[in-house]
Amino acid sequence: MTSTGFEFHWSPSGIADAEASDSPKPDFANLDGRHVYLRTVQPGDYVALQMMETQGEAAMRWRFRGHTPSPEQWLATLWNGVLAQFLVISKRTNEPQGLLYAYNTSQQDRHTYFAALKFNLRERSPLMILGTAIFVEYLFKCWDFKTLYMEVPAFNFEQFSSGLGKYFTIEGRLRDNYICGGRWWDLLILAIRRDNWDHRAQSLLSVAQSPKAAQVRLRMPPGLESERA
Amino acid sequence: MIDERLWSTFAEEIAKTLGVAIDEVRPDVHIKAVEGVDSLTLAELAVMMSERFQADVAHDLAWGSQELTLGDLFAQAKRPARAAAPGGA
Repeated sequence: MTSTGFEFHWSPSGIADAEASDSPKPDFANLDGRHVYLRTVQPGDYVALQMMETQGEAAMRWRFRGHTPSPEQWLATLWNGVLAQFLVISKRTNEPQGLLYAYNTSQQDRHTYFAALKFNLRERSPLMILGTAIFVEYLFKCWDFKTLYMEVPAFNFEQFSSGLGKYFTIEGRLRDNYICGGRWWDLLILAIRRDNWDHRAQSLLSVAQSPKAAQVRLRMPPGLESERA
Repeated sequence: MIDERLWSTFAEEIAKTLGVAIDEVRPDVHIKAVEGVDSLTLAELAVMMSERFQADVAHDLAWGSQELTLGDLFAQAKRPARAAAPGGA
């Protein structure tokens, strides 16, 4: 180890395991789920992510919708207007399952939009849903948002339509707004409201999130307390 | 040999979660073939199995291909923990 370097030990839940004490602590958002965890996008992800976003079926239905931006344009767009962005990683395989990001944020109106891309479009899977639940909780815990919005083409809605009325509502429908596969689709505006989320999502979060590690407080024998400091 | 009492509780919970009639809950039914089962339903199935039957099935539901049956899920179910009495420990 060099004398000038330092090691950075990162763990998704590390921040919540800060020094134990009796003083109140913020209830930090936990990105470390039981089955998946959220990881920030790193330069090493760029090539695979760009391929995913500009080739294959996802390229037609995701943000570029058939455009093939230059690598420079793609990179600028990746972060343009983005508030927070994570990859959903499976804990079993360590493989990315999808991408989540929040954008078009209005701090004044206390809302943001967010989007979710599942990389394996063919397979129904609970993992991306569990990752999305962690992300929604993260957004509500880090910012004072009242509402989170999603723009969803009607053909995507069936992947999670069973949550209508429970986790989200349809706030708007832009008819024949979105062209994909040679035909026009409605674009739905879905809303997740904080009060409803807090009330309804606890079961989902109980499985999505890792159980918090029990905090152990060591009591030092008298006389050793001062040495501890 | 099937634990009839556990199966009965399991079938009731499965029917509620998947939104199907209880007589449609049979061991040979493929989960992903049930009409209306989307990714969110699979997540809620994982929640229910965890809460009611102490079974961690999220990864099985993700990678169990199209072959996972209700019988496969039942094989992982454990008897539900007794609920605490109101005001009890």
